Amino acid sequence: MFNPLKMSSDEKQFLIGGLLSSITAYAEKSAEFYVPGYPTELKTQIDPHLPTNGQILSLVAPPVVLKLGEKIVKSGTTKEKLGKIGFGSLLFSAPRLVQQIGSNSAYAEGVKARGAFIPTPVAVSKYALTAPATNARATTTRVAPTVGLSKYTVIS
Amino acid sequence: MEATTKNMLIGAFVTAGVDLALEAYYMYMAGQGKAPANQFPYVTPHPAIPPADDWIACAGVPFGLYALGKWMKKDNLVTMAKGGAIYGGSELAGQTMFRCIIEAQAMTGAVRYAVVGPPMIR
Repeated sequence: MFNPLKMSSDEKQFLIGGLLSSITAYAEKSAEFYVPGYPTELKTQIDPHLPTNGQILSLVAPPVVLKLGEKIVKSGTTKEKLGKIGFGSLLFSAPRLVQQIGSNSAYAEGVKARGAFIPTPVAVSKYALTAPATNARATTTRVAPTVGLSKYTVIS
Repeated sequence: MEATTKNMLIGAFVTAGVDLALEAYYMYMAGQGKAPANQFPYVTPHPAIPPADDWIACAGVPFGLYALGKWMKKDNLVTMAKGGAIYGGSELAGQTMFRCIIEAQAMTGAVRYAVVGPPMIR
């Protein structure tokens, strides 16, 4: 059997678990961005320091489901396999969740450190526009190259 | 918890810690509007490939732990490297998949991509 890394069957099962968790997490992330009508509840964050609810769910669900499977299944070998795949899944999910919380916190702190955003005042007219306004006129200005600080000198 | 299991978990957390340190700096600067994009280690030869910071954390750290473990003849370090490799390998594989999806969306000119733009990969 092709096994260039000389991995034991236990290590293979751990890796399968990790990959399973990773694919679930990134598939959810892709869905958040590109699936139209994806539930808003899953796209929102409870707190700006936390990942989105969908991301938390996609990281927590695989190890939990595999652990439950391990508890439910009666066959000894399947139980053992599910336990190992579940642990592999936990090896990805737990550190990834910590990494995501840290990364989101850093972003939130960065936004906070930028300072308060002062919006530019916007002038709003009291009257609705009733006719097309012509408040700009196309003009022509002739310029000539010059030497010195200014790039052009206005002729007329 | 068994010693092997504990060491693997420690290795995965060490790898994720380095990943977090590099990612947190980028995200903090991005929050301030000064994202160090296209500066080492946040560079990539192709948008579908994870940037250098992810390779350093997810491949470099487990490799470093493995080399150190072999050199010092410490089995627990080798086990930690294996835990780190499972986290790192899965992270790189997942991120490559995600980046390929983004690229595919951009290439096909998907409406959502045009409106929202590329997502920030954390």
